[in-house]
Amino acid sequence: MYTIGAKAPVAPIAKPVAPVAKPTAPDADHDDLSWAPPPSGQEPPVSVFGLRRSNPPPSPDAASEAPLPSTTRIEGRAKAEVEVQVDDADIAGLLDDLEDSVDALLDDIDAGFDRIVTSPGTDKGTGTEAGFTEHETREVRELFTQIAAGHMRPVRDFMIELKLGDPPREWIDLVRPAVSSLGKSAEGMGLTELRAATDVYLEALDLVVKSETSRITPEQAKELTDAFDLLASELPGAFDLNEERDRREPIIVQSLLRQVPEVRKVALDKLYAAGLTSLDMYYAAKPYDVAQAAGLSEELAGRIVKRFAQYRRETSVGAPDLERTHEHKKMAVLVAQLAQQTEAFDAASKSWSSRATQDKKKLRTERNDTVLELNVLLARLGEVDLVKQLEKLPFQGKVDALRAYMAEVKERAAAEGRR
Amino acid sequence: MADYSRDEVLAKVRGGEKLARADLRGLDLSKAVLDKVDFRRADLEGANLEGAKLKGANLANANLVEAYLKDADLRDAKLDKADLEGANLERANLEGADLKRASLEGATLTEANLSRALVVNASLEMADMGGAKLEGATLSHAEMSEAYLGAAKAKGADLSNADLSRANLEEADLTEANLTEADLSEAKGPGANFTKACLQRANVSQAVLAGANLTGADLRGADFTRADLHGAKLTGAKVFGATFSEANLDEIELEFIDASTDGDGTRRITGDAALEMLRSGRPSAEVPGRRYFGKGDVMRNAALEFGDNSFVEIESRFEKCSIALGAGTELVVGDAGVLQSCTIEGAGNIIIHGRFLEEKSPGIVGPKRLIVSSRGAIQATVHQPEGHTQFAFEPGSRLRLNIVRPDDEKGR
Repeated sequence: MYTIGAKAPVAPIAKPVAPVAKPTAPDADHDDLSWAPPPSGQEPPVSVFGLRRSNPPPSPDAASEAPLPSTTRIEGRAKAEVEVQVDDADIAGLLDDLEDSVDALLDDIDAGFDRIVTSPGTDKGTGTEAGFTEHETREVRELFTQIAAGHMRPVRDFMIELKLGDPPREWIDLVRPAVSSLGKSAEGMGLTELRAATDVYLEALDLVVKSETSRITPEQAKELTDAFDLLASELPGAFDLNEERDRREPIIVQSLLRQVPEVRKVALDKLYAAGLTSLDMYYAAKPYDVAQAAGLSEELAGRIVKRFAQYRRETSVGAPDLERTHEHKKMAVLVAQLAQQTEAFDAASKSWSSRATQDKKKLRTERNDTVLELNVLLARLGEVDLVKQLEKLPFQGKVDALRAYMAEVKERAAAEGRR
Repeated sequence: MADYSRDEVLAKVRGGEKLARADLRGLDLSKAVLDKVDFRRADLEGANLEGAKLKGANLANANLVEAYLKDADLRDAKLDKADLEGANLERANLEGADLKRASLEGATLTEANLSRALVVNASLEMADMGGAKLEGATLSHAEMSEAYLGAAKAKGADLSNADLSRANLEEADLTEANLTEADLSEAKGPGANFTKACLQRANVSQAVLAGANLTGADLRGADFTRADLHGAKLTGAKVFGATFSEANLDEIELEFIDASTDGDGTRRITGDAALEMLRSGRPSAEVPGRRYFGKGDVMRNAALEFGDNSFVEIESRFEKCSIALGAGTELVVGDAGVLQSCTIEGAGNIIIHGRFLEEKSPGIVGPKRLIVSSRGAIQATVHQPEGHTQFAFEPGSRLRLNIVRPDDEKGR
């Protein structure tokens, strides 16, 4: 079995934390919600697939052996239509499993914190008040931070999405209970400043809820960012975003740029030299600005700005959930598409006809575009190491690795459902 | 499944063993030291050779399809006839490597160093060579259609007879490169630098070379039909026999052009006359020594004599005329021109786009150069002068020729 981040044994946090107990290692096994790599210093070892291997892998053909009951039609950038077979039954099952698990996962958040603050001897007061030594108090707080790091993943994801795109308001439904739970736990631990910070953040969320705007406005985003910065200053171990965002954003920016026809090395170098390296710059820029800054034609700059605007729209649709179901569903489609393009390319390579030669050229471009789309999606999900591993694999290897990844997603969702 | 593990391969290399014909598919040999190892005909498909040291390695005929060779050191490696289709050679060092007849279709060579590499007859279709170093590389007869050469540094590279159709050459440095008879049709090279490059008889039709620098380039006999040269620099370009019909010449930078046959600067045309020559395909009326016989005219039984270094263009019909050419004179029989039962004598240069049909043999005596374009037809006996005649016949030209050597009156 491949595991992503971790799974199952919840035992470590089920055990009462005795005052003298050694803090449990920041193992991802505690991170029931972890999808993206945990914050700095907590990343699990990465296998060839960017995943951790704990048991023998499932059959690489598992996905292809499954029934393929329906067909989805996708229109690619090159206006070539590709028919992709996607296992809708699997996706529906995945969705059901994930929806069922969300409530249980949220309950875990409360339970996790409760276990700390109600541990024998703590008496719901601060550590020192309950008779802890300073060293013990520090250990308890470290453990608190470690657990919070896992449980605050939706908050981090939301803030990264806010930075990288235009996330739907529904994210608030996921984020609010987590922060609220953290606030209560902080109060129980006597962490009054953290409690105050969670209140500020909750107020910022409430402002969005009450505003009745269809999207999160720039002003609201700023309020949220400021409030989040306050949280991060109180509990940096759980809310540090910078490293994670710095890993994801360059991949997204470059992959989006390379999806624009005629953006090759020369244009990329000019754009980067002009300092146009972040998503928000492209969201804000006008074609004229990009053309002037980078020395590109306004026509090309227009296509670039348009691509980023399209991406921003894409990130704003789809109901969010803890397991990023929308993104995984899209990934399943893209993986199936890449598999089919690879198969068709190999078939064309075996033929000497001029038609096959033309097909091969077209497919070469199309599958490169599919990989770029997958890179964007994987980077959004925090699977940066997987992106880097995929680059080194031949196309069939990419397909196999992605199928293994999807199988793990499915298995993990099923495990959550059983819990 | 590969024959050996990484450790086994490294052990064999340490023991000096060959790995020729070994099955090493998908093996991770990243950063391995494999200098001068014999990998002939080895199967390394999908192998990870990132940062591997392969200096002087023998990879002739090896299968390296979709191999990952980023940052690999392949200096002086033998890769002739290797299959590198879809391989990633980003920033790889291929200086002095032998890539003759190698397949690099769809390969990534971004910022790779191919200086002095031999890439003759290689296939580089759709390859990404953005920013690659190609100084002094030999890429003659290479298939490079739809390749990306943006910002490539190809100063002095030999790209003669290369197929660069629909290739992207944006901002590439092709200074002094040899592009003789290269196919650049529909290529895109905005901002490319062709200073002093040789594009003799190159097909540049429908290419986009807006803003390109062609200063001092040798464009003799090149075809720029419907090319976009908007804002290009053409000062000092050698343009004898070049075609610019329907080309976009707006805002070109042009102080003078060299219209001499040999590109030796003996016929310099300046200012508006130069632009007029490019637009019309022939020197303007202001050029001294120019004679033009237009369409629709018929001339019979005339004896015409042209002095040295004249330029004569015939779009008319000539019958039973005798034409004497001074040294260095250029006689162009245009598309509509017909020379029926005529004779041409003298050390001139004859270019035939129309027809030359002799009656009395030899029809042509002592020419310095005879060129028949793809549209031209000739039926004649050519008596060569001492020092012989230079002949050039484009594919598609119709020929019925009897060429007589100066010391061989019998002909052959």
